[in-house]
Amino acid sequence: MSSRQKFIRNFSIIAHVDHGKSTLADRLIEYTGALEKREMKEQLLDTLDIERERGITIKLQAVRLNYKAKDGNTYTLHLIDTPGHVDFGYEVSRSLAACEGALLLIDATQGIEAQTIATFWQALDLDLEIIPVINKIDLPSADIDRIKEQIADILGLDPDEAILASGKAGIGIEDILEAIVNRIPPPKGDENKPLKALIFDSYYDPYLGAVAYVRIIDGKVKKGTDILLMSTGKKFEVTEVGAQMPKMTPMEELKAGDVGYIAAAIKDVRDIRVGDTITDANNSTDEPVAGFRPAKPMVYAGVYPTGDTTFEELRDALEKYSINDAALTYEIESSPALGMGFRCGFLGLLHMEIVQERLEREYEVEIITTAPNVIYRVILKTGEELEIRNPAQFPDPSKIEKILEPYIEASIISPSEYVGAIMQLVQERRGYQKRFEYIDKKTVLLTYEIPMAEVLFDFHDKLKTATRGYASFDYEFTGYKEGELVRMNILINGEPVDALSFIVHKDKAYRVGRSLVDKLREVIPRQLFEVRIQAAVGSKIVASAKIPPLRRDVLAKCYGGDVTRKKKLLEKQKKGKKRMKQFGKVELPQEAFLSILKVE
Amino acid sequence: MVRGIYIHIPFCNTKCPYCDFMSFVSDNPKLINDYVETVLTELEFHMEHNYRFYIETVYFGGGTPSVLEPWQIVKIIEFIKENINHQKDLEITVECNPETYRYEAFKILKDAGVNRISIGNQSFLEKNLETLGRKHKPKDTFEMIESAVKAGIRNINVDMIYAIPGQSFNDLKEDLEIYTSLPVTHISAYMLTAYEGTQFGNLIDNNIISLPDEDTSSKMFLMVDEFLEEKGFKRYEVSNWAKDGFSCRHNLLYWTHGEFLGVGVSAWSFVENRRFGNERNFENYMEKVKNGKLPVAFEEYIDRNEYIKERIFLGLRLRNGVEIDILNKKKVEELLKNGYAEKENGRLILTRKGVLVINEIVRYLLN
Repeated sequence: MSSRQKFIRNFSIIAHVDHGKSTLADRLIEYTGALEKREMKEQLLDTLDIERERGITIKLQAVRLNYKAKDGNTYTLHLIDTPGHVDFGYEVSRSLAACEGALLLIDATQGIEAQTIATFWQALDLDLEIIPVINKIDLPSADIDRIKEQIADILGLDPDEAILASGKAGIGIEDILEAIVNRIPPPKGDENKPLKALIFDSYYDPYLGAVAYVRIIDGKVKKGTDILLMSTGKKFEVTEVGAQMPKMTPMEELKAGDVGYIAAAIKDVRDIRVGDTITDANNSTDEPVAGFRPAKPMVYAGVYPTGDTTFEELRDALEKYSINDAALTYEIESSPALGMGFRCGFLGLLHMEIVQERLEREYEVEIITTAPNVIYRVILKTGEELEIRNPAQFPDPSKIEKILEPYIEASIISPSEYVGAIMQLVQERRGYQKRFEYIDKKTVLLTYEIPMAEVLFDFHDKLKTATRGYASFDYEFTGYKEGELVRMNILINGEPVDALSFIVHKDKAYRVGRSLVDKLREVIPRQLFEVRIQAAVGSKIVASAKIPPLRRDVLAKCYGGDVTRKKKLLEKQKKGKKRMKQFGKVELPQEAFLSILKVE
Repeated sequence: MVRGIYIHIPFCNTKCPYCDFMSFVSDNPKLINDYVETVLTELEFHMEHNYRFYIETVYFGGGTPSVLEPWQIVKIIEFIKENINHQKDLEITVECNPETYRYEAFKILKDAGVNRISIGNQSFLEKNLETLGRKHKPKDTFEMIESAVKAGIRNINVDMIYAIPGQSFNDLKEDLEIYTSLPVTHISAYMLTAYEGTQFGNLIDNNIISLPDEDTSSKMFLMVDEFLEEKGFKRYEVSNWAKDGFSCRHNLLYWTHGEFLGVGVSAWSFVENRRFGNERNFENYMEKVKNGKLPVAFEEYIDRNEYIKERIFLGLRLRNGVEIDILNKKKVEELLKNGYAEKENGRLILTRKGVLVINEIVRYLLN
């Protein structure tokens, strides 16, 4: 180890959403003087508007801090931010792999939550040094003793080593920095070996092109180095290296142990895959960093242009957007009801919502999104196997031998008094229990296997409701299992609307059909003509409803001066209906396509 | 060919809470006279423009034209007659508020050629007038009608508003009975509309008052329509009923793409496929004209596409309907099938049921 490496510490912060990670990060940045206080915006690490609004972190980033420790030495600390949502689990694991240690942040008023545990296990697997931090201790409802008990029982860590802190009040910041220096080991690695750098994030910069955030494991890299991306075999010449301090700052060189960015005039962000290894094209490492896996969409939905947006405009928007989001996949599809659009693959529902919002906000397209679905595998009687990403593509039932659906293992942590409610909810969702453990006197960890489709929509909300907000939930994909599934068709005025069809378990078909039809009756506005809504499995109608026609408009005057105004009003009304799709003579609002998500 | 002239008189004695016309309260005779002169100057600008004129109608609207001294109206009429090519049988309308002109005034107007008045009555029930913020009493309207008829003006429109907060079906029937017992030729009846930005609009937005529900107001329309038709007033437009031969020729120009020129603050014109509107700000209007400029603030060219759009949404308001050729055949079939419209001599005419959802039908046909 070089003497330089002795003064480097690489760490991330493991925390549940809302447990105060971004605020703590801000305090660390502020304390080490990387930014003047007046330069600090609240929660600096969350750079995207949407992140700030939702209070969650989507894009991970790395910040370099200089800290003069009590031992008199100045240390370089790299804080690697991690996304705090289950959709981004793989990204979390790659961020952790870039570190030697982690702060495990626990809200003193909430206790440990499922997601924190899942991330904690990942960190342990990677041999990270874990520093428990009990946050928000200044709040009146903080229960430090209970948290310490959980730290000992669930995590098996020494509760006396936990640091008491408050990001908001600035308590314990120095203690945390000292612990990082004293407890987290410096990075190993040899700067004289061939370059080996782990990509843990990427983003698109209009001037630099696609930029990789990396941890240099071995070797060094600088401007002019020919690099090789090991999973794709693509080669580029480095144009700039540097670090975020927290502003992007070019540097001479990055060496073993460093965390920073590499730009190499790469046009497509998809060439930079999280988890991939960068090496020197002329002197390559024998072995890439273990654990690479390409981002795989778990959820698919149709995205279609509406209002004034054309198919071409949406395609441009998706192309531009996806250079900044390698996890999004899209392919052209066409729907009899919605016309030409795209089948998009997302990491999860949150990811889908983010993509939808950013497309509309930043790329100014008007879109309509269909209900998301998981990927089904259908085995035909001929033995052929199909991957179904769109319920409308489901083959004729007579040709199907069996249908497989994805399952997840769900971990739920909750106060024990809600166990009954949770069990009932999981049962409704076709899940079964695998484990049941007490993690402290009042808290249980339940492990279930549940079809992914059943947790996709409102499971998290329902769980929160059933447990008064106390339960937390995390999941992991486990594999495919056979299911007795059928396709439910929705007919509007007798015509099936492909974009409204979905897959449901046979036993739930009647109830879901009824509920969906009721929901549709609520969300489809009255129109000129009566609207008949039917839910059908095969040729059997399981539920139906009617929306009576509109009764009246305002009968107002219209004289010389009113013509232009009235015309504008009509245009405005048309605009107001932008998220509507004409289907025959019926106009369906966006909500109609997402009604299935709200089915009771 | 310019066939009508509209003169906007923005002054009022009070501002009604539902009114969305450009109007303001003023009784300053100097200001009013200055305005009349400015309007005449604006007319002169248009005459220099070499439009082809053959005027059939002149319409004084507002605001309240009857805040003018009758001689001021006469001055404008004479200016038009002297300087602009017109037909002999001119329809000249003046909008009047019930508490203003009486016999002497009407006599002067009649001699100058005014042959139609339109009275801003709105209702004969005092409680409705109160809700609508109108200051006049029912007897004012009776007196006005009597004195107009005495002066020889027999073509009389009375405005009516229905679907007023607190109005019952009995109230409406009572009102209709009074309207139809009077020697009038024309009734304009509007559903009360809470326009954005008006006092009424704000009251509705803030839930301080509420308009009758969809069911009630649509039944009220049916009641008005049936009642008036029975009394010999035919609906020739969504909100206008007239005895045979007394449809308002001027207003028909608006709905049939007849060319008209509007003068005065906020007045609109449609000439040679251009629709243009004057300044809505009084001072700006006055200043522009005085500086020798046309006071136009908004202008739109009506191309073939816009023209068809307008034909549909204006034409459907009329009893004559719109020529079927310009409409989507399949959609026409749907409308016929569902009883929203009927076919007559190659034209599509809305039924009562259709009139009630006219905006939605227009949207359906235009989409």
